[in-house]
Amino acid sequence: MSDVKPEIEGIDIVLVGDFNPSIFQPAWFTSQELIRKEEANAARIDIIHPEIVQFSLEWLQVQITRNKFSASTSQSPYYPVLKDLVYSTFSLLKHTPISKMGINKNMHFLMSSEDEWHALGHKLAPKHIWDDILRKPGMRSLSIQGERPDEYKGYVLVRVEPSRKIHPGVFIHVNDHYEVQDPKSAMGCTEIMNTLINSWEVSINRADKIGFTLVGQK
Amino acid sequence: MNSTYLEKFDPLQPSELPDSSEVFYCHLEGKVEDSEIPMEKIWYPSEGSVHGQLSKDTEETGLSPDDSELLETHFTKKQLAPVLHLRKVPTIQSRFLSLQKWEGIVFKVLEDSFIARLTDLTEKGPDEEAEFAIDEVHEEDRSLIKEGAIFYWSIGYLETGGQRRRVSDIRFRRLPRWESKEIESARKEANRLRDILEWE
Repeated sequence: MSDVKPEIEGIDIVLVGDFNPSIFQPAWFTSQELIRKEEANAARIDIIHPEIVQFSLEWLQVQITRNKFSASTSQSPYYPVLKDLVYSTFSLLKHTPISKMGINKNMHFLMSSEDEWHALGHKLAPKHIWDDILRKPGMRSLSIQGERPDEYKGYVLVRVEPSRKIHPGVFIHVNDHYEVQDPKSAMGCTEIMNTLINSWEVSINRADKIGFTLVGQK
Repeated sequence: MNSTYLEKFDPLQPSELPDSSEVFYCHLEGKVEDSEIPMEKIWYPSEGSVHGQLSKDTEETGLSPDDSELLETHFTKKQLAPVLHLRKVPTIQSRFLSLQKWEGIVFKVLEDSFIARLTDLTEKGPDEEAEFAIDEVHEEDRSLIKEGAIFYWSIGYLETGGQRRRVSDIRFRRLPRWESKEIESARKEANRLRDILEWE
């Protein structure tokens, strides 16, 4: 694996299903002993509404709507804690219908020079095709989707863009997307939670490998 | 419109949204308006910073196109029909620069300390054993120190608002509290499997 490390990174677990947002308040997580009381008391609550809940802790951001649950952290020591939190939450709410899951990684890599930064853009999106159509064409966003390399249903979607946070930098987003095998027969969220536990490490390693490989394409 | 979702403009560092985001706009469309939920029912702190938009349903689990790092034109478009205007209060986000991470499993609990086997998550290597003072563990996590308990130990720098300090963080794995009937059900299932396998 490359020695290059992202300057900024984060992980986002996104679940698609049928949720009751009002449940997911810091006090509920504390009552189930899934987060510390001290953290819940210090939580920054943005909105609590039957349709939408959004709050954050020092290491965690949570957003829930009727059809989507998202928990994310930008602090790498908390990656396994994030996974445990999501798993534990839906072990308790095991009848929640969940059909899809994204284990998503965001990475911002700092390039050593603008030349290298441009070279990566040219490599990923060759400009000769565009030279006769656009004046000074530049890559703003590139999405590539691939089939899953395992037995799960879903896909792997990679997006590459110039980083807005660091310059000259590259932003890489890997959406490791899983779906239940048969949405009609799937009950609750057991299948997706088993996928989360069984695929977590593989997904993270895959995202890292994709990031390092792409940044290495100079 | 049957359902709604919250678009995240920037999950990592909300304080670094484009300048035009000094005032955040929360568009409440679709289900919220369709169901005629009075806007007054929406609770938010007086210094809130809701940054998002409820709009059409999506079944994607990655970034939606508007979550892209390149938001300028989308963002301008979103400002056209705001329902709620909430002033953005810049937040101080802490960032943990991890130097080393381990996963530990407790195998002996002593009076003032516990002994654990550590697996290095930063670099592959042999497992190590270490003794930790119970005082090193957050007060709310101490009840979780039991034989077999799993914890994560990280050493690194915590950067908050330009300040950098070296920290050691021990965080015990929190799993759901099982009800006695669930434990009993699991025991019965284990017994059933043992009988099938004819284990003594």
